[in-house]
Amino acid sequence: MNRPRLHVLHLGAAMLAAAVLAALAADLLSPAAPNALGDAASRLLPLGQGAGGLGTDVLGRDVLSRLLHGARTSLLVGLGSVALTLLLGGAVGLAAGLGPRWLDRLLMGFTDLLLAFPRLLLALLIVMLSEPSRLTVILVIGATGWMGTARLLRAEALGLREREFVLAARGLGLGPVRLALRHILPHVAPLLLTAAALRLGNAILLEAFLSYLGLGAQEPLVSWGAMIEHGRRHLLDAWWLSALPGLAITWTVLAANLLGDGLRDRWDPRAAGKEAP
Amino acid sequence: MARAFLRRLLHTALLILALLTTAFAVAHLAPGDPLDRLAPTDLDAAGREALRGRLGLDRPLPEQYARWLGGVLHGDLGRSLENHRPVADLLVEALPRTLLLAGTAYAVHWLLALPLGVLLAARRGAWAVRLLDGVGLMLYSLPMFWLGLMGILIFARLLGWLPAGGMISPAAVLEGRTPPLDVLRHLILPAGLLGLATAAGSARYLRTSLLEALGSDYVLAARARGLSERAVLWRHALRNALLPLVTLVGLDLPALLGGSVVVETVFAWPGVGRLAVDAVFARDYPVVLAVTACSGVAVVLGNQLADLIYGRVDPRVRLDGERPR
Repeated sequence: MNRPRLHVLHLGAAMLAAAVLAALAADLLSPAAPNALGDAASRLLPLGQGAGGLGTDVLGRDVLSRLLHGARTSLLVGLGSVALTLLLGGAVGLAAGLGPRWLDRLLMGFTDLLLAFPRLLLALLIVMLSEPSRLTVILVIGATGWMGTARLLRAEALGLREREFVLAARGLGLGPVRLALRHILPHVAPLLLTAAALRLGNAILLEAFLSYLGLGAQEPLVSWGAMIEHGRRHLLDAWWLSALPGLAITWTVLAANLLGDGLRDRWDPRAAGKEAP
Repeated sequence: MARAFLRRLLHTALLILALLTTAFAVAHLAPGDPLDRLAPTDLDAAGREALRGRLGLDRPLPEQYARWLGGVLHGDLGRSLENHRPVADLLVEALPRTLLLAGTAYAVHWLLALPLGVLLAARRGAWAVRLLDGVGLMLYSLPMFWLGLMGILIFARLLGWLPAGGMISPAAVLEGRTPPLDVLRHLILPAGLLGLATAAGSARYLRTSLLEALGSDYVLAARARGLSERAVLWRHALRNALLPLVTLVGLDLPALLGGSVVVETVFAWPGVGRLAVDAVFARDYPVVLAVTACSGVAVVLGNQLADLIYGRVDPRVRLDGERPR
């Protein structure tokens, strides 16, 4: 009972490592260039054929190569936007938790306001008004996803601000920024890491849907969501074109969620213990 | 009581004002000239300025804001750039369809989550909980739009049991009818998917809540009176465990609305989500802004309502200002 579910943590880490490896080594592992067009005879090859063995799409492009390169977009957008989320959420949360009361009320009021909007609609509104690109998607997903982290960090900071070591540091004349970075941040780092893993899955799902709508990374960049959309027109005669990228997304998101769950159980025994009656 | 209610009303009104302001700010503080995205690329400079004037984008931001807010408070959400119809009309047209979809999905959600949660709390079998956790995590990790697409492939294209999308069969549309059974057939896939995708989370939540109730004194008392375990579970523990779930309804709303956007897009369901996505493609920004703002308002109202109901059904909770004696 006291042993956290370590196997979940390991499974998630291994699955995510595989995805990261595929993304990093996409050029080495790909049997063909992801955007290399095939001739008429090499179009819509079924599973088991084509250079990578996973068939080809309407333009004769090798599906395996595109899947590998799609991992790059997904992970880059996912990790980039989560980094932004942590930065924004961390700054707002720590400022609210450690700063004066009026600042706390102001920042948390704003945070709660943003939380009332469905994230997808907020993202669509911003994407519509800016040029769709990989960078835009990173910014949009990051800018619409930091609120949960901010609340989490604020609660932690509030709990820590009256502890002796913080009071001591304050008494020694440490400024608020250095206090936050030197003394509070190390305390909340495990929590932050857990939140990051759990956000990563969400970010990748959101990226996939925006790409599916054509509002994500643009050609020649490969993205899994866009692959699903392209395959949609051949659902019946070439189902794998849509099915495989979906499985790739599921793999990566599941990896991130398993990792996050495992980390949470490990760092927060209360959350794990709650499940035991 | 009346005073607390009034205070709450005022609070909600201020909240809604802040929400509208936030939505407007997000739309207008987005980097770049909105006209770059909104205007057709072949428009000349004079045409661009004309469009800018028509959209009111040539005026200072505070004035734009005041005009928009004034309109919204009068029920005027502006006009669609695409078909020049009032945005409010478009919303009123699409809203019942989204309510039908989201409402059915939410019913499916609880039809699955309620028995599952009770079962898991009653059994306490570790493997059952693990299985549900696994399934829940899996569902949580699946891209919903992709799952919908696969559902269309299997149930509509391969098996031919259900329609692939839309709300009414083309034949009925041509005859101008809305046969309820036909709509129901179109509803099964999208509503089932939307409900299923979120059910595992609530089942788990209910289980935790039930286990807490089962450990309380009144359950002990009920057991001591010799009531059967089933009666204790269903009549005593469940009733109390359901109370906190009332607030969950308010919390589920953003996810449900966001999920509707995805599901309506994949299944071509002509609701508010679909309206928003179509408007994004048409760069019809008054529509997208209105849908976003209204969703935020709906979520806030839902939360306030849930709090209010919670205070009603649970005498231990009172509206702010009134402490239980």
